[in-house]
Parts: sequence; structure tokens; C-alpha cells
Amino acid sequence: MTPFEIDDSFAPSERELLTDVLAGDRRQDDPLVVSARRSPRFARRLQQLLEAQAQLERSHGAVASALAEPAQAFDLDVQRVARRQLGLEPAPSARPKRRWFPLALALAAALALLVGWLATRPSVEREDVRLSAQSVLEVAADFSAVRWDGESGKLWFQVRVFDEAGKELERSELLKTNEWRPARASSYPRRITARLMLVNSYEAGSERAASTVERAR
Amino acid sequence: MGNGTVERLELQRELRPAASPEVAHSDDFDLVQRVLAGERSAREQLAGRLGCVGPILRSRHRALNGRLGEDDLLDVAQEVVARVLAKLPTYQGAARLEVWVYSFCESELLRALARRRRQAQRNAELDQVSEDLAIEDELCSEPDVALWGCVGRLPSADQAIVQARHDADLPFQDIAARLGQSVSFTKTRYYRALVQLRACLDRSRGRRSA
Repeated sequence: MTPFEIDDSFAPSERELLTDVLAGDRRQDDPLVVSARRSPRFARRLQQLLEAQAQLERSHGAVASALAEPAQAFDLDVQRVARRQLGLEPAPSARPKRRWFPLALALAAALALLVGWLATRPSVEREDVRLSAQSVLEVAADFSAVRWDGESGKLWFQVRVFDEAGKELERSELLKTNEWRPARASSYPRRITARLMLVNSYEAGSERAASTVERAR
Repeated sequence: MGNGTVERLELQRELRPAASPEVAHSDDFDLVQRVLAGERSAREQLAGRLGCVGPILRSRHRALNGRLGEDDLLDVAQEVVARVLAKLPTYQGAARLEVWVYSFCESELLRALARRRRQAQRNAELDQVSEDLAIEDELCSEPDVALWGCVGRLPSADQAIVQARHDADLPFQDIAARLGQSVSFTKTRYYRALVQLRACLDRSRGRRSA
């Protein structure tokens, strides 16, 4: 390829024609341009300048496409680098990155939020899990079983059995059923009081029903 | 700003050429001047604008089929930002800031890729200095690097016309109005800029083939 030279020997009319084509004011199939291109020198000059123009177009197209990229996490890291170099953020410690620290911080924050949420949940949710006011506790005449109403499978219950003096005779495990069979019923005194406790995370052990019964003879 | 950076910017402020009266992107030029004057809010703004480095590097790395990992790409970004800050005093506002930064991204990315390639084909006969020189030679032959280098060597007023035409896609009437010139004068300058550009690109090719 002949090296391009800055050649001022073009006649003003030729330069004007080249300028018009490059500026988009005149098409390449314009009769004047077609005629001028019969000169190899003009044709070569036009070709070379159009190539330079095309290279500019391509490069600016690449810029536009790069700047239209959707944002990614990497860009935040780069932004941090820029801020650091501009003295807007302290340089990172020389120690190796401790990646667990942000994770632990996030977990602690999530836990705090959960605890806060549980502690401040609106009371309407509490009412959902309460026993109704008309809870009934039934003790079998031979003390072999204690039954109650309530949402089986959802609430934790505990039955505690006391004698007349208030001494606790037995207590059940935490139950999600509506019935409990005491293991030591045969040794109970003649008169007992069974208390049904509701156990959950925010009202542990609150009494929901009680029944004092005498063993049937 | 780190002490080293401040000193470097101060030194370069002394050395920078007088601003061209034909500043196409005067807002960007003003921003850079305020950064050089040490204004914190301007540095904040510039940091935001340098956010373009991430997308540019990702996009070009993908287009060039690069094999750099994210950490390596972040190293390139760090180098780009350092070079941009070092060259801030030379920014004349002929191109918008992102386009100016783009040329740094392109050359730093190609440099990193060339380095990686040469490490993979490690030539025991080349010492580090020779290898760096070879990389710089290789870089000069990259058409895009050569183009941005040649655009950067155009007179500031001509750069402004070329950028307005190809980056902002402005018609010559608007470019002329923005720069306070006649339309025919603007077109003539554009033609001359293309002539200079082509000559510069051919010189780069000549160096490459030599």
C-alpha cells in the first residue's frame, strides 16, 4: 500500500469535493465524485480517508456498546478502587481479606431482625394461637386420661397435676395433642387438680384451663 | 487524596498546557479542573464518572476473547484509574470524559492480555525489560490503540470536531454552532483532521511493519 502523505497539492475544488463526501453532503455516486474518481490519485485519497472515517466509526461504536453494558458487581469493586485512589476511601488493610466477617455481620443483623420481629409481632397473631375462652378440660373419672379442646398439632400443651395442698404430683411432656394419659394416675389421691398450660415462645406456661375432680368410687 | 497523588497532580498542574478556548465538553473540563484544585465534591463526582471503567473493561475483555480472571481484570481497572488520574492535567475537554477514559481502558487491557500471552509462551531468552519493550511494540500495532493515540495527537480543536461528529453524532451545523465557527470552516477542519489521522495511522502501521 502506498503510504499516506499529507499532500497539499490537491486543487481546492478536489479538496472541497473530498470534504463534501466525508461530511456526508455529497454521495459517492454523485456525478462530480464519479468523475473525479477517474483520477487514481483522487480515488486513492478518498478511499484512505473513508477507511480512517470507518475506523473512527467502529471505535466509537465500541465505546457506545461498552457504556451500555448493564451494571455488575465487578463495577462496584472498580468504583471502590477509584474512590480509594481519589482519597475518598481508606486503603484496605494489608491483611488478607476476611470474607467471613461480612457474612457473620449479615447473619447477626438477620438474627437481630428476626428477634425484633418476634418480639414486636402484632397481638392479632397471638390471638390466633390462643385457646378459646371456653376451653374445656376433662379428666376421666379414674384419672386415666385428661382431654381438652384446642388446636391439635399446632399448640404446645402441658398438663400439671396437683393434690389438695398444691403439691405437684406429675406433669406431662410438652404435647401437641388433645389428650394425655398420666403414668402415675393410680397413685393419685382421691382429689386432684389438673391444670392445662399453654406453652409457646412468648407465653410459656400460661394456664388456660383447670379442673378439680374426685376419683370415682 | 493520597499524598503521592496530590503531589503528582500539583506538579502536573504546573506543567499542563493552557486550555483550548474551544472546549467541547466544558462541564467535564470544569470537573477535572476542580479535581485538580483539590475540591472534594469534584473528586466524589469524578469517582462516580470513573464507574464507566468497569463496564468498558468487561465489554472489551469479552469482545477481545480475553482470559483474565476477575481479580486480574480488577488489577487492570486499578492501573487504568491510576493512569487516568496521572493524565488528568492533560484533559482538554475535547472528548467527553468517558470516551477519554475508554482509550486508557483499551490500552491497559491489551497490555495485560499481551503480558498474559507472553507469560504463557515464556521466552527464556527475553529478560523483563526486553519483554516489556516487546509488549509496548505489540501494543502500538493494535489498530484501536493506534487510533486513540492518533486522535489524542490531533490539535484540541480538531479533536473536538471529530469527537462531536463520531461520539455525539452531531451534524456539522450543531458542531459549528457549539464551537462558534462557520459550518464550512468546521467541515474543512474535519477534513484536515481526517488527513492528519490517516497519516498518523499509516506511520503506526509503518512502525509495525518495520
